[in-house]
Amino acid sequence: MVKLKSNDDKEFEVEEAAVIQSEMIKNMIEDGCATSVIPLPNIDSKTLIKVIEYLNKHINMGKAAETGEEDDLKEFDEQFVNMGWEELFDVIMAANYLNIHELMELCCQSAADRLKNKSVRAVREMLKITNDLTEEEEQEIINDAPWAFEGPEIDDTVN
Amino acid sequence: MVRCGAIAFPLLLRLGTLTRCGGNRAKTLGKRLNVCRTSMKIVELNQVMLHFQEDILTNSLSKLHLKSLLRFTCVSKFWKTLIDEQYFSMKHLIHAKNDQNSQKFLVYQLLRPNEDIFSIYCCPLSSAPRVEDVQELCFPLNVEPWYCQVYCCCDGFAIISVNNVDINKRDILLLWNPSTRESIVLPSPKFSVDWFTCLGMSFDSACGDYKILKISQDKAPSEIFALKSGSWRIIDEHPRDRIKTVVGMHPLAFRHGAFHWVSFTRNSYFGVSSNISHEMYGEIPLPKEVLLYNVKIGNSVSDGMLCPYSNGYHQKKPTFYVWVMKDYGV
Repeated sequence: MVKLKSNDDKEFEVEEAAVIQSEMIKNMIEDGCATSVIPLPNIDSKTLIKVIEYLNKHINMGKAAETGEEDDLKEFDEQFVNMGWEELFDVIMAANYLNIHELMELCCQSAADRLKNKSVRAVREMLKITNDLTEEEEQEIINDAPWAFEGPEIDDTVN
Repeated sequence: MVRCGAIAFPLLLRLGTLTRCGGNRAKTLGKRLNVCRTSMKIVELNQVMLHFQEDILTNSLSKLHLKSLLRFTCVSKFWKTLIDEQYFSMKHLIHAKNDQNSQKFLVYQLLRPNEDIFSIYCCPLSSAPRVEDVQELCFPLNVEPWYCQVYCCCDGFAIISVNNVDINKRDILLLWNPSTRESIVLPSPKFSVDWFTCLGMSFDSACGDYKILKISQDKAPSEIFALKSGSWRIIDEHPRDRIKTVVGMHPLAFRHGAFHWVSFTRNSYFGVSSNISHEMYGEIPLPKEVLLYNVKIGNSVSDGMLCPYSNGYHQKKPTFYVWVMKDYGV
């Protein structure tokens, strides 16, 4: 077992087989730097719980194909990314810091799926981005490729 | 008459970026650092998007289709800078190359045979594409696609020639990105591109530029074009490459940093390679069966492997042979 400590001083015990999906921690263990508790100053306990949930589920990912658990994992992944933007960003940041490639890809794909086909207005509202382009600059971009701003698939909702 | 060329879709390499940017790594890195600083500033000013770091945004956006991306350049200054970056185009390109759904055929078909007007469309690679997946493309430059030829495709670009009715019926050569609908007219080579010409295009990482090689079945000398220099240059010929057995208008195969074609000398065929960076020639022995079945032979690339092929008659039956060369002496 490996002990992880979040930035709000909560400790979590994780199986080594699960935690080594993080390249960062795997390297620490290999270098013999993980003898006691591993402090994670960038990750709060709420996010760490999510990450550990993912690591535990994906512990035998290599074997999933053999045991026919692929569909089960797929369903888990779909449920897992069903969270708000704030929480998704926190998990992405944690995955980035811990260097868990699969989790990073899963979350970035989820971010991409949410943005896909959205209108410019919807993207700004969803991500609380202030438009700092002038009206002229904006018009110039639209004039460059007006077809990119038209089409029945463009979705103006913020869900 | 239908002709095809494979092309990766949809890609974001903007022609403007390609011809404008000095593509060397140091410059690119320098630009990226500037972007990071911009990003920090925006975060401080608005106190939003605290967590959407540049690399994470790049990763997420690179999974999107081109139409959404072009629209999202309008979200904010930071998003525009990021999406317009050459680094982002490359990342998007790599993602598209690994995505089977992004691979499409570019097909051009004689639409009105009496007037020699073509139409161009793209369709998925699957063996039985559905009618609704076939998408007609807007022709570049608003010219009538008269006598159109697609010579080769590379990284989502296509090199096509059209006979422009407006300019004294002269052939013009276009570098076209069907996904972004952008195109530029390439300068004419010293020896014109015609039915006996083959073109190949690829990225030369040694100088960070796209290059186009033009070789011809007839006696016209080979010429090379670097996108940033903007001019054609005649190159030396391979000493033994007297009879190029290329089929006019077929794209040149590109593998291991070199263009490949097939040459014939004294009853035997051999492969010729021309390195994209320093234009050094190499020779590749071909399977001896090539000679037996030959009517039309050539080189192509599949799954990253060079594949010589021959199309002819074997025991009186029309036969198409392909050899997949995992390794060869280069």
